[in-house]
Amino acid sequence: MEDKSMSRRKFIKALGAFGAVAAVGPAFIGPIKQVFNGVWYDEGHGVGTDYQDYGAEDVIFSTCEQCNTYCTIKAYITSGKKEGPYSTVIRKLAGNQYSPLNMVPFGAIAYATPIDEAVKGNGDVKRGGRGARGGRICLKGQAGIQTAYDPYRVKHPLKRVGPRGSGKWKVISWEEAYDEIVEGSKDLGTPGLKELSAYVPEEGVMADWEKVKKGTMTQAAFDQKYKDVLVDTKHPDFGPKVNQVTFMVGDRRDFVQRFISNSLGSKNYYHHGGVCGISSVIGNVRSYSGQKKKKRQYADIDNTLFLLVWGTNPMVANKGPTWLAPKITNAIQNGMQMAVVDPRFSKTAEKAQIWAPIKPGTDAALALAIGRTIIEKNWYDEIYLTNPNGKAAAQDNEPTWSDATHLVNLSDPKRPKLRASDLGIGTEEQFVVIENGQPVPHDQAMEGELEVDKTIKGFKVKSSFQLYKERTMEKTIDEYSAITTIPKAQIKQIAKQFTSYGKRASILSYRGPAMHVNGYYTQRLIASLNHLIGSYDWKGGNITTGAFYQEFAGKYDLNTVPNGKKPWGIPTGRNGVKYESTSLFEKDGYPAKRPWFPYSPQTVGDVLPSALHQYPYPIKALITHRMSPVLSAPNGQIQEQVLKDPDLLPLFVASDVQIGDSSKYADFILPDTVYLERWGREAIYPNITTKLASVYQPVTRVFPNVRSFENSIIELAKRMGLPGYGENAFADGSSLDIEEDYYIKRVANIAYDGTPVPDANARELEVFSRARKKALGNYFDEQRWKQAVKPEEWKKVVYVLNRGGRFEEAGNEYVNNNHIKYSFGGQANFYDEGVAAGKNSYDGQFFEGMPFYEEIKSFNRKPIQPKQPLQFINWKARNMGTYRNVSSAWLREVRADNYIWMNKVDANRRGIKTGDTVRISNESITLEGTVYVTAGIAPGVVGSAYNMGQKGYGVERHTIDGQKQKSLPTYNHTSFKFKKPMHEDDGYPGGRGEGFPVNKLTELDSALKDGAIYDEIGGAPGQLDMFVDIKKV
Amino acid sequence: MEAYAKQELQKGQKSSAAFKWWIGSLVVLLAVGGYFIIERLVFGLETTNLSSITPWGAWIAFYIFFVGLSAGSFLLSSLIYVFGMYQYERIGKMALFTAVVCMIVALTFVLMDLGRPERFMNAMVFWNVISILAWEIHFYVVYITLLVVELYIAMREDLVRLRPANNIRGKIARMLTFKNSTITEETKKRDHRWMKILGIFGIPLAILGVHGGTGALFAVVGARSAWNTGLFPIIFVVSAMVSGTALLLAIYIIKTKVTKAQIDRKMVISLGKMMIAFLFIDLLLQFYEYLVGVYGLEPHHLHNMAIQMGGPYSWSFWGVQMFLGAVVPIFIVFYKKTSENINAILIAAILVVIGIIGVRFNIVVPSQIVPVFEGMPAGDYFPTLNEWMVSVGIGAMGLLIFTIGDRLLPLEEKPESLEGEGS
Amino acid sequence: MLKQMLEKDWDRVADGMVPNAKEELDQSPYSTQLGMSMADDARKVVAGNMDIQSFHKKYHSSLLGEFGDLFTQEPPKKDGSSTKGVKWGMVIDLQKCVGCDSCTVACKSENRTPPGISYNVVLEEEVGEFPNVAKVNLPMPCMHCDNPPCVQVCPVKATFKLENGIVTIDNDRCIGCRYCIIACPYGARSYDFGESYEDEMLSFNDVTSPEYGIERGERGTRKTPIGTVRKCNFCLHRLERGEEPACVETCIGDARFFGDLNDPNSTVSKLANSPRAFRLKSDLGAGPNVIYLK
Ligand SMILES: Nc1nc2c(c(=O)[nH]1)N[C@H]1C(S)=C(S)[C@@H](COP(=O)(O)OP(=O)(O)OC[C@H]3O[C@@H](n4cnc5c(=O)[nH]c(N)nc54)[C@H](O)[C@@H]3O)O[C@H]1N2
Ligand SMILES: Nc1nc2c(c(=O)[nH]1)N[C@H]1C(S)=C(S)[C@@H](COP(=O)(O)OP(=O)(O)OC[C@H]3O[C@@H](n4cnc5c(=O)[nH]c(N)nc54)[C@H](O)[C@@H]3O)O[C@H]1N2
Ligand code: SF4
Ligand code: SF4
Ligand code: SF4
Ligand code: SF4
Ligand code: SF4
Ligand SMILES: [Mo]
Repeated sequence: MEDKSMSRRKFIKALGAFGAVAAVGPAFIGPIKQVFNGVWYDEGHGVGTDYQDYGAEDVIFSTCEQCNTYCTIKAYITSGKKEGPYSTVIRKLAGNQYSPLNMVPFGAIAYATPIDEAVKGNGDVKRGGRGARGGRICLKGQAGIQTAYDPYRVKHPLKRVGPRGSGKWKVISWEEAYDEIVEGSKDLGTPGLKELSAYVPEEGVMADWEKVKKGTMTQAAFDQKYKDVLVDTKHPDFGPKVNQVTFMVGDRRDFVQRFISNSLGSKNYYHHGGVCGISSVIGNVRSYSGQKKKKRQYADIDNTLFLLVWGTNPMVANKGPTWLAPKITNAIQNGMQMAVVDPRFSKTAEKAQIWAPIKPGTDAALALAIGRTIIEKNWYDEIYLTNPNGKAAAQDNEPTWSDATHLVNLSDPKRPKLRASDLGIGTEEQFVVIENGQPVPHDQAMEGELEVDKTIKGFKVKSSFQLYKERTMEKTIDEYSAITTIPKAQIKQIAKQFTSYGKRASILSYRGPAMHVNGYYTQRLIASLNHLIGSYDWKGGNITTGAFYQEFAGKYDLNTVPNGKKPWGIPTGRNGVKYESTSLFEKDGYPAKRPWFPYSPQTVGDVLPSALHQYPYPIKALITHRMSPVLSAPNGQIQEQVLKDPDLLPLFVASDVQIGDSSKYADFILPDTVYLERWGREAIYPNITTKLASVYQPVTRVFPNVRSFENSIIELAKRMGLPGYGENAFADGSSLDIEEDYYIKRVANIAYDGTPVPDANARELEVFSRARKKALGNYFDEQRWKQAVKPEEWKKVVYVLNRGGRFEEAGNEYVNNNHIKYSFGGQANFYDEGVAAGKNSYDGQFFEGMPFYEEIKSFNRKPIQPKQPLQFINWKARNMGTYRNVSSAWLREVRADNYIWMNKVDANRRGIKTGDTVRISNESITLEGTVYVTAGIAPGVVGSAYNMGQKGYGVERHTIDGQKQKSLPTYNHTSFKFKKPMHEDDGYPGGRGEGFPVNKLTELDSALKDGAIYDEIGGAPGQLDMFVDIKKV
Repeated sequence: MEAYAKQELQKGQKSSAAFKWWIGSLVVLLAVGGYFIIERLVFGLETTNLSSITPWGAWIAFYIFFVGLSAGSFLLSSLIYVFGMYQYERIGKMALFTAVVCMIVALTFVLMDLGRPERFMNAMVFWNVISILAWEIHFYVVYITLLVVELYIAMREDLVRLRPANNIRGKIARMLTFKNSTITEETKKRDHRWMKILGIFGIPLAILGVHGGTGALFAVVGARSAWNTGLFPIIFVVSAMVSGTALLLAIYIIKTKVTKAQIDRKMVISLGKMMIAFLFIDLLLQFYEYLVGVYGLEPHHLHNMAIQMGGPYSWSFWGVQMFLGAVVPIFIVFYKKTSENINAILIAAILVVIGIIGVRFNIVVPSQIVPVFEGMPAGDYFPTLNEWMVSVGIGAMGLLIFTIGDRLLPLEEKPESLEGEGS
Repeated sequence: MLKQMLEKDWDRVADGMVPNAKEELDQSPYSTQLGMSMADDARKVVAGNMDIQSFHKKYHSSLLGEFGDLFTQEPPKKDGSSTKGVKWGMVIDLQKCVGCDSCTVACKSENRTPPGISYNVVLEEEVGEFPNVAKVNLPMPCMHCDNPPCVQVCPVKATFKLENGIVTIDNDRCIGCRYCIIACPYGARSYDFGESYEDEMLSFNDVTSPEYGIERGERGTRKTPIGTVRKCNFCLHRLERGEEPACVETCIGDARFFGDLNDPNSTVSKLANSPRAFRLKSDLGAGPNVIYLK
């Protein structure tokens, strides 16, 4: 770029040397126009020819991690000041033009486009309006630069001085950090990971335990044999001691999980999923059965005619705006209708034809009301629903089918589906349907009866659909309307529209209805609505794609750890464990001391609160990595209590890029690289109909002494002598010494999947090295990187890296004209026999197999009688990604506060105006906030974005090596505040600490000690079931 | 400079203690202001409470205030030299000199206000023919030149008389008169003729170019509808007359008091009446402004008035502009007991001047508090310490120039007294 | 720099500032041959032995690639009239704008504007009562008016229109009087008070955007715009390198369109002529070239 303008000047100068050129020069040189152009024009000054143009060597494609959407990005780099600590300056981020995620609605450029051409673009700005030199990313993505270059980042490994949370640190070397974490720290008195990580395989233990039970082995002998390796020899089912080493992880989960599960063998691997959308995921997963798990409700938006957006905000959040927002705006313009069910007038609701401002937590009732309307009016797709299996479905050109006709055995207290074997007409794998009045194994029937309520051979049976129908009829539309506050006419309108476009309608749903205590049931009922039209796998219908190029297998098996371990035992979050099957149940019976979550795989939120009561057993170490339980998990106060207390938590290590609200309590902070400095693997949710695989790769290095958590894991594991690192780390015998050994192999897998990508040619190889040399300087060791794969694979690896991933070309998304190619192809379930067989851990009552509208309740099954007058919901701020973007001044310029939305009625009653400071409180805490009075939320409901109110990221000043951190800069030299809620356009950033942390207001469960209310099936905390009062200060 | 002047003055004139105090405090104020001026120059406009939302503030208000004073003084002098209202001749030269000093002060304020003061010459070099401000700048130059020439001619006789004086004043007089040192009836006539000609040129220049033009700076801004009326420049001119008269009146009274000279009561009272007459016209025009504004129902305009009259600075409108600047002086001048009282008139004059400062502030600021575009942030503004102190410094500079000029130049119409002073 | 290369400068250069033109040409990666022959032919034009059209024809395409549109003119027509150049314009579809402010931040990043300066803002306005509400999201860059009041008032012609419709600010001439800020009806202009993000964004000061094609190097040193007025420049430097403006590139709602309003077949022209098109405060007569769709 510099070369370019230099040479241009030189050239012109040189030309100028021939005086004659100067004479005709004006004919070429615009500003020296010879004609007088009119009063508005001028020339000869103010404009030059330096454009900071760039080429392929100035660009690296990677992945954005400003939020959990993980868009593909393009980074344009330029050299910075020599004195800076950084290797290079990121000039600008944009979307990756090779990737469909960033190029809606134009489509990605061809994958085969040479990188030089791609970076230069097509030059069609004048007419077409797009040069295609970059794609879209959202505002948070644009601001990613400020995440990387934030001087408040942690720059060296830190060790706590003084008590936890004292805010005093000293810098230690990486070697010291690793040694003390592994061997223990004498001065801090923290134990070492090594001594905490005793592991023993399950089989031997359990075999011996059987002996103890049978009396062939004494407890004493058992104790003797296992006291050093088991958490508790009285409760061997707790598993090995290493289970007391707990992890909470936010990203790079594949690498980290490999370490935790397969190398260490700890069962306590937690990730943010448990506080993200877990009940939605579980509600969905359990609504379908098939080869592929269907975790989410997404739509083929481009071709949908009616989109029912339920408690999600794709224009802002979901996964993610970059991809979904332009699709939706274009679809609307092309005639799509949209209804949004959301208690508040979200950015998505703004664009909808119908906004249904539902009373929070009553979504199940609305789903039932819509279901009832559809059934009463016979608006459901009968042909679809009567297909009992895939074969029958195929005959009707239906890619999926449902269990509507399958019979449920109500005579069994567990209410399973009736099996063909029960009637002696088939096997245990076969369900039963009624065809022509006769019971038939489901896979042999072509058309089942939909409404069945009879007794067969003594079995009282009903069809799933019958049960569903009865469920919807339990309340009248009036009653549903009263519960949900949604007018009858609107219920009918949604039901009508949803069923008026055949298969070209779909539901898009995520956290809103699900992150409630009744989230699982609610999500199930929402999914059931989509069952009624059966738009799965249809063009314009409900999609379940997730066609990723293979990443962890193929050329290299990356997950397997040779001689690895198998984690076993009870995780402290009691997820995935039936209480009744534990030794604790034998001891305590009902009610359990805390809820158990037999169906949920992730319950990170209750790990620390349980540790407070050492239930089911104490934890010894916590390693957090890009997760902040204090901020994001329910009731931060309780989470903090444990983090602070070395007796409850003897060792706390945080991998972080900042001293955060949780990591401030750590014994050691390992300064991680930020996403723009490293490799990684996270990918967009499967809501795209073409295949893709995105890659992360380092784009810059801002601080020299930070290290990726992967590299730290490798070092720690080596010191602990764990399998899976160093030599023979992988199944093929190759080694894992630096993160590239893992991630570049992953790229090779991607490159070779299916038809391998072409080799990078000489020019592309050159671009690859030059760009990285420029971007990373000494941090780029090409020879070493190459060693990660076989020489013949390298060129393909480069081909993929040069493009930021692998992206299937559009055009083949549909098969048979109108079916989605990467399909779900399975069964949609109205009835969940798995859950029907389960029991709650309070009183041992069975759960419901047919979902229903359940009021918000506490652990003791009692509906919560809110003591506070206002229901408080929360959502994702448009300009902040979880809690990790606050260092971006640009984003805080857009908005820095999480205003409390309040209806005029509530505001007037309290004498509150927009901009007023208020106290927002419940029984356990009082916080301060600012009110925004709006018509966009119902009376009685208030809410705010959850992403603010941090104390970390420099807000609290810590002392490192005796030196207090600089206080954060302030902006706006005047003494005035120009910002007003929703009118913040003064261009000045607000402070990093503005707003309040929403999760401190979490409703506590009155039936337990120190715990939030939980959905025991889905596993979600009642994040959206908060109750508050608000008073003007 | 100050030191020099002081020294010379001491040599040349008997300086009373009060005078020393006066000069001393001005010098101190100038020095203090100087510190803030340097601060402002080093750190830029960050030292102010100006923002992109409210880009103009106190310095612009003072700038138009002083331009107004200048134009007002000049127009007053024209009453004498052009329209032959010789009853006011006592203050004629003073008026011209005041006009010059006010322009110097006004332009210093502008200089302080420029983001790039070092580029001020650009304003002379590049001329945007469609920019009122560009025209203004050039008008100012012509206007100042004209003022200086006119003042020179007005003083010429006195200067010639001063030539023999064996002090700094004499020296200056000798320097300024060159060879042109005779006074005859003919030269007197010639001078008068020239005064008249210059005055005639000056009147449209002051009205159209200088003050009307300055008003036009605001009036032409379509973006700020509260300014955007045809009456606006006229109000500027009229209020210039108000303030010019008031200022001269105040100066005259103060000066005569300080020098314990004989006061021309008749003139003072009639000037006071004239001041109030102008004030009435001013108020009338403003009334129509507001009336039309209210009837126009233009939201921006209404919002502007709401802020002016009910916003955070409404004290400036009601308290300063209306009460102190209009109601009280009108009362003083018309109330029997005070109407003939010199001190009361002095107070009235000073209040009018202060009131006009309020007027200027109320013109400049509230319009920028109203968001320029519905939905954009509202502005806010009050000068910072720096802005106040810079203003004080510039004000002190003006007074200093005035005082020194007054000491060194024959501005008073008192030829008799000159003789005695010479020796 | 090129912008100041008036005829006399060329002459001065020719008169000895460049000792050996051929050497210089050799150093530049551009073809020496081209330079030499251009010079030769230029002499012919000056001497009247070659007409200017032929000269253009011969060199136009080579130079277009290198210097971009702004600096390379179409050859004058035989009759002396010149072909209509590009007139940049933007269309913003308010039905599609989701009010996300991605444009705002993209612009900050592209133009590296300091705190307090946003070339683009998105105004949000709520109308109605619960539950019948609507929201207007109004993104506002500089309108690049046809008759720009900002240009009208500038005393020194520091701000003016380019042939391509872009309203420029010459930050080397601007005296910082801020009259243009007062005059702009769209609140598009800001004054650069000299603030910086450097304290929480290392490297912020390292690079500045080459606004209007002028490289200013590190922020605050050399040729700084501090003390002068700034505004949206339609990303002229991006246009010249074949990129749409940053805000358009990233627009999450696919609501922003850009292109040549003089070309009736361009996307923007078509949209600008749709019945949904309107302009903000059109009664003021400024003639915005940012056109909204309702
Ligand atoms: N800007 C931004 N984008 C993000 C993130 C971010 O932090 N910021 N985070 C990313 C992550 S991690 C995730 S998981 C996704 C989440 O994506 P979404 O699911 O879209 O996220 P939320 O904003 O949490 O919730 C969606 C909506 O639910 C509504 N809601 C609240 N309570 C109820 C209720 O009882 N019923 C109904 N029907 N609706 C309700 C809220 O008002 C909100 O508009 O977003 C991702 N994208
Ligand atoms: N009430 C309520 N609670 C919620 C939500 C809600 O909407 N309402 N949303 C939920 C959702 S969807 C999610 S996904 C979670 C998110 O919750 P978390 O995963 O806890 O939040 P993050 O902001 O992603 O990351 C937390 C911390 O990681 C650290 N960090 C940031 N960048 C890096 C990095 O590059 N490396 C390392 N090692 N550390 C880093 C920072 O200290 C940051 O504060 O919150 C959930 N909690
Ligand atoms: S949606 Fe999330 S991942 Fe995508 S660009 Fe925005 S912040 Fe980055
Ligand atoms: S919008 Fe304002 S700054 Fe832009 S051209 Fe128009 S008047 Fe000038
Ligand atoms: S601030 Fe600069 S651009 Fe604006 S009017 Fe003044 S000189 Fe012109
Ligand atoms: S056109 Fe460029 S300068 Fe103007 S608002 Fe968009 S990004 Fe900013
Ligand atoms: S980026 Fe596009 S959709 Fe978002 S606010 Fe700007 S114009 Fe609107
Ligand atoms: Mo999430």
